[in-house]
Amino acid sequence: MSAAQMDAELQLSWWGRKTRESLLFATINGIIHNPQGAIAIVGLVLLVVGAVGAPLIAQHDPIAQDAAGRFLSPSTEHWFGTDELRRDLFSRTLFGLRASFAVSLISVAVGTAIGVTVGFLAGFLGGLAEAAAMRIVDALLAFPGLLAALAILNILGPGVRSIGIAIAFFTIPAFARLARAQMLAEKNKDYVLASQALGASPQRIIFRHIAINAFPPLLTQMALLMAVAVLITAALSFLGLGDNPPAPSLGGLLNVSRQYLREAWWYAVCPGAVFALLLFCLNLLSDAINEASSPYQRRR
Amino acid sequence: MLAYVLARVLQAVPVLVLASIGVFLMLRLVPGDPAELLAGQDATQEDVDRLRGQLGLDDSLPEQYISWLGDIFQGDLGVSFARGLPVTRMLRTAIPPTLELTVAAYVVAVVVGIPLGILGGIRPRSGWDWLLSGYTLVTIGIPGFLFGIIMLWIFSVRLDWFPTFGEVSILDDPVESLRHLTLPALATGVGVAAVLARYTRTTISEVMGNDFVRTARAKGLAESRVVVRHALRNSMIPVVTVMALQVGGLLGGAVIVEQVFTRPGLGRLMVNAIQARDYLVVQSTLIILVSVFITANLAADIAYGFLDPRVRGR
Repeated sequence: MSAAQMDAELQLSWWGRKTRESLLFATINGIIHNPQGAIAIVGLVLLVVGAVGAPLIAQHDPIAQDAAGRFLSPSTEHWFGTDELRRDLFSRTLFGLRASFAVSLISVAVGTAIGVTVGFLAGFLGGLAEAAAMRIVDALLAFPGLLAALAILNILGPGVRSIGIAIAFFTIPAFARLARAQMLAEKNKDYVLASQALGASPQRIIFRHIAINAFPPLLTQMALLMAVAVLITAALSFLGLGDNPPAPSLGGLLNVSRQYLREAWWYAVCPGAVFALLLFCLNLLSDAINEASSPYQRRR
Repeated sequence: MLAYVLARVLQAVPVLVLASIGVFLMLRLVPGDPAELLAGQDATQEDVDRLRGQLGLDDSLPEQYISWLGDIFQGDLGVSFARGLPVTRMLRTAIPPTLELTVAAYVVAVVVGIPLGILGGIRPRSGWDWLLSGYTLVTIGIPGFLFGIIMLWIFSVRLDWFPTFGEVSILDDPVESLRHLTLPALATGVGVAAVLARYTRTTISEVMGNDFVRTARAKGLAESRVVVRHALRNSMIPVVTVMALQVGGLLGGAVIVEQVFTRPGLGRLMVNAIQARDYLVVQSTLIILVSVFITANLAADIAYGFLDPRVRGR
């Protein structure tokens, strides 16, 4: 290394050095510098702020029937108008978004944790445990997502809790399969051998070394499954299988709006637009992570 | 070829058996006594006991499973406690509308998706290709049921071109049936069309780079003939597989879209049954849908073998 190169290396900021050393940081860097990723992150930050800050941002109670009238069109007072019971639709949409985030995040997180652990262990241990786990995964994947969700709702009864469990349930096999593939790809690499030679314990190798390198592809899948989770949650609430009225949900709002299309187009269009933005951003984010984390997927 | 088909069918059997065991166990996993659950809340003790005898709940689980499967093959799916009707009769009225919708949506998906994919694929970065990208982006953000609501608002409520609800059998009144079918079919089909279009685009743009396409052009064939006779034939093989695999997506979409347009069908049947906790009806509908799904996947495999001789050898 020449003196000039060494100088350049020293001049790198903390972030610059991290992006060169770590695949994870390089991936995050790649997402931010990809226009798709930037749009997705800006959109998601907006939506998350709206959902988390709903009690502060919403000027009206989402349940109180206190507006001046039914079906008021959008105005500065009621940004998304009002509904059939004189409730503010902007507040209802924000709180619906909040519920949607909560169910999807928790269930995908739980499903991911279980699925990744199963997949890593299966891949690391191999043998009979792996074969058995993967056959079960295959059988679970044979059910299309929505049908599996309906089957679980049939067992547990309708409700938000059942929807969450259903989503976690079909998140597990997808992650188990991916995590196992990652483990198989990583476990024979030199750095694993090196840590084994240094006397690292299996736990340390799996969670401190392999997991870090296997992380970006799992992140892609997580963003994608968040989109699926949001979609399924909304679809099931739309079918009337998830709500506990009067609490709002995105799917529930869309379901009721159907009956009042003649009186209030904004009833369907405004919550629908927020829902579409959410799906759109999650899908873009998933694409951006994918492009940033795998060199082969980069745009030509 | 026969060996290939047989091998595929044999591979599908265990999946079907596993899935049917899953659906069978579903009812046994519901907390509580299945007989009491199936008899409903208003049932007397005698009703419950009679049902327990009928279901053979005192037998071992494998015995129950075998007799349940035997009943299905004899067309006996039990009686819905919520409606007091044989489940088979309820299914007989619910299946045709869903079948109509799924077939129509399939036509939409193929008619929109495949040509768009071809046009985008043979000329990357052309206007058609941009249209394809835009179309895909839109369908990612707007799922079928939301698209359905928007169409319902514009075309049925505002313009009054189509009815807002209901269904008419295609056998009774074809014109009226199609008027009821158009919007639901579009809503169910557009998402699948985007999947088909993207897939067709990828395969055809790969095929267009092959030597045999260059040869066809070099010997002076018209471009249209190069595309139709040479490129298309070779790129349709994977597309056919994807088409069959989309059946599951279409069925799931149809279940939800039926709710948008208040159409009767399997979706409405199942949703009402889940709300009424009418387990037997849900169980029967699921076993039908899952069987259709697995059969479609099998058909995809077999079609693949027919179209591509290389696959059979493996």
